[in-house]
Amino acid sequence: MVFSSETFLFLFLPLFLAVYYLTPVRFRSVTILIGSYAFYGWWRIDFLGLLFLTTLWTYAFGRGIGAAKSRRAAKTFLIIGLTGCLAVLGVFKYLNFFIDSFATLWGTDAAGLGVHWKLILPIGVSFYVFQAVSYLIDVYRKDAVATAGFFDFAAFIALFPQLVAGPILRFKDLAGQFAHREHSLDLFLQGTTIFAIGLAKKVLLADTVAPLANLAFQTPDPSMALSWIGAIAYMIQLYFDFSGYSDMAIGIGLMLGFHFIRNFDTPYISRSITEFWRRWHISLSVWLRDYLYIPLGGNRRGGARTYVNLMLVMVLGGLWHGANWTFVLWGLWHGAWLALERATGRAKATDLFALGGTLLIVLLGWVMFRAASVTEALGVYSGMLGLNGFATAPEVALAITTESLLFLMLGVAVAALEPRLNHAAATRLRPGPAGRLTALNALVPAVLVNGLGAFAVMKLAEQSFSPFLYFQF
Amino acid sequence: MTIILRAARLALPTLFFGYAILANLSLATGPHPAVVLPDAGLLSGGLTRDLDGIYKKDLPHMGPSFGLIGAARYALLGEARKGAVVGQDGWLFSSEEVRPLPTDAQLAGVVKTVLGIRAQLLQGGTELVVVPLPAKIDIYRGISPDVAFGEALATLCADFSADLKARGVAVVDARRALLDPVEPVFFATDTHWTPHGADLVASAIAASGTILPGPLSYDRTQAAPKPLTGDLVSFVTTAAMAPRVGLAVESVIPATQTPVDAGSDIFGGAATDIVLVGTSYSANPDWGFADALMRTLGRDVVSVAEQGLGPLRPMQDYLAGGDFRTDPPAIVIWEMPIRYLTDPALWPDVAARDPKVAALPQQENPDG
Repeated sequence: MVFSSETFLFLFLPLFLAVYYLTPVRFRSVTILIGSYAFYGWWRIDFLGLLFLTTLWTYAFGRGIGAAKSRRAAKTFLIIGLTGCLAVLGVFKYLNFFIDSFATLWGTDAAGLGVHWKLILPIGVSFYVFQAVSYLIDVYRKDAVATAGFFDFAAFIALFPQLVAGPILRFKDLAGQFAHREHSLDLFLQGTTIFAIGLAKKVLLADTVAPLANLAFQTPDPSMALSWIGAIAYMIQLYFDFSGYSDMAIGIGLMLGFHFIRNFDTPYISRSITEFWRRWHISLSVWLRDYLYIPLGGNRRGGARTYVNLMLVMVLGGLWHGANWTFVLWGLWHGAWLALERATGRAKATDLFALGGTLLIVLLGWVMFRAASVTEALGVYSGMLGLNGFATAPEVALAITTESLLFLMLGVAVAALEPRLNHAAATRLRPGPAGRLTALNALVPAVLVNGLGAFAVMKLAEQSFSPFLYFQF
Repeated sequence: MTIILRAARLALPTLFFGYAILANLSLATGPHPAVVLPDAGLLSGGLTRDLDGIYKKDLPHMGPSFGLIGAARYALLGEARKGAVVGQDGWLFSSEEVRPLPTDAQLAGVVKTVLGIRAQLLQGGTELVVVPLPAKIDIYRGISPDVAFGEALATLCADFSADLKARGVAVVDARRALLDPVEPVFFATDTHWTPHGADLVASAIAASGTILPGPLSYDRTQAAPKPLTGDLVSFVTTAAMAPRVGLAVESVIPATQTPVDAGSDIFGGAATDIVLVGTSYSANPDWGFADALMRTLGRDVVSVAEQGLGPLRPMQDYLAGGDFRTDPPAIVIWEMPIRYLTDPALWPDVAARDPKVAALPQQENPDG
């Protein structure tokens, strides 16, 4: 189930919240767990088993690490626990990729090697496995206590607001909130507002510009104009899709009394790739830093090793997004720029040239990230360079609608002005410390958010609604 | 005032959850298909997909949202959803008429398929007459989004017809017949031709000399005009909203016809004379194409055209059916809208040559 579906909005969410608030406080983790499993099982109940087994495995080895008499024993539990978790990821996410790549090396395909099956990628497996891994490492590092409460832990792993698309949470940040969290009308209202804004980002901006990106990437040999429009459209689509989803997750979290980590911080105003990764998918950046970069030695082992570590972390970060060579190259691209910025000191640049350069690097990276194959990405790069010509075929030009171009411009404007919009929302559109309500801080935000939310729901309906063509016949 | 300001803060959750309750009550009490456990089973999400389908289709706000946003898009930007393109003066065209043209190899594949079918018909002693129907965007290119589309499809129609003629297939030029500057030959908001357009093409077939005229005559009775909301309106807005944004409700006059002196021949003429195979242009009785053929040819015509399947499937169905084997007609008229040549997925010979096409899902064209 996804947040931007009618079933979630009008059935699951209201029903879950009603049951949640009717549940006595001490049983609310159980309610969250059941609700989260229903949310996940809505896709396929059979894959719920994998989620449950991963949870049980991680819980058991967490307890083992916590109860170990020596560091050596704890390390043994940690290694076995991590191996199990990573095996889930390795098998379900990467096995198909490795088989296909191996077959290509031998000039054949998977069927040529006698492999006639493909594993289905379980939704959210990257997220819940990373949460499980961070828990085991935190317990081993003694940053977190091995929890005795299975339901709290299982509810943490399955917590539906962030189960399928993050933010990637860490048990050490949420354990206290599972034990005790505040519920209030103010938090609930704040949550609904953030949720509505996230839904509007996803439906009004991301989904409306998506056809432009699809067109550019699906058109063979796209023209120069189409390539640039498509690449920029994808840049906007991805940001508002993902940050919109994160906002919705954070909003639901607040409705349940949880405070999740902020996952995006206006990334398209970054003046270096280093800064970009402090603002983009923050929960992943933090995870990679704490559980990969630092264990690899970080920047403590000299310049050359630091650059290698940066590249390695970004390549693995790329692969985390998907099992495809495009993600490997995307990771290499970002890793190389991170290393270069560290070597040249450009990481601290603040000038406008740095802003433009960073946006261009990110944009070029997104082309590889979006493409279904390296060949497809090269086609778009060729188009951007003008190598496919400048004329757009009439049927393609017709598909570039005024509507999607207008929303693309709106998306660019919102991404650029987001810091100011956020500042205005935090200072002028919210009641001050005294809590005094005015037309500006009560009526204006209510009209804006209700309007945005209603428009998003209607637009979502319009996209979903498929009238029967044969009624007239 | 304070009460209003406090209420404003509560508006979002109140409106949202309040509507959710009403929406679910509406679903619970309204008519919709029963959710049953499909063959796909509970484990793989078949049941929940059915439920998703109901929530996507039957919530009270779905229709009004579609109508309002679509109408606003059309009125403000002059655009439709995917599936239709907007011309001038309230004219709409199917997106199927603005697809990329087939390659030479693809067109050769279509011709090969037609020749194969003709050979199969000839084995039963049946002659084939192909009637390529020009695209609406070709006939009305002056009010289309870009004349290039019409020009390209006119060239395609000419090339296809010439190729078939060069291989000995009887082809009727319907395009010239439809260039009527006075009376509309297509509906403004529908993919299809008007009864007048169907009449003109039937006359062109009769005048082409490919089919000898017969002795029959028919009595024709017209009913009262009935309103028609074109099928392309579904890609813009709802039927209720369409007139408000200038998409006219058109009208069609249904007619029935009976052969004169039918009584004397009720058990006679056992052999089928002419069979009409084709798409919704022929299958929809409101357009009256089969009746027009009978009147202009003076011969009996049996229509086996089907809606929504393109031109090839109905022909394959007919050839595979018992009627053709037991009672092969003298002539088969194959009505074939030219826009279907731009959909290689419909043509097996093309698919066989191109693995990418073969991998495409079988399409069922909603307005075909």
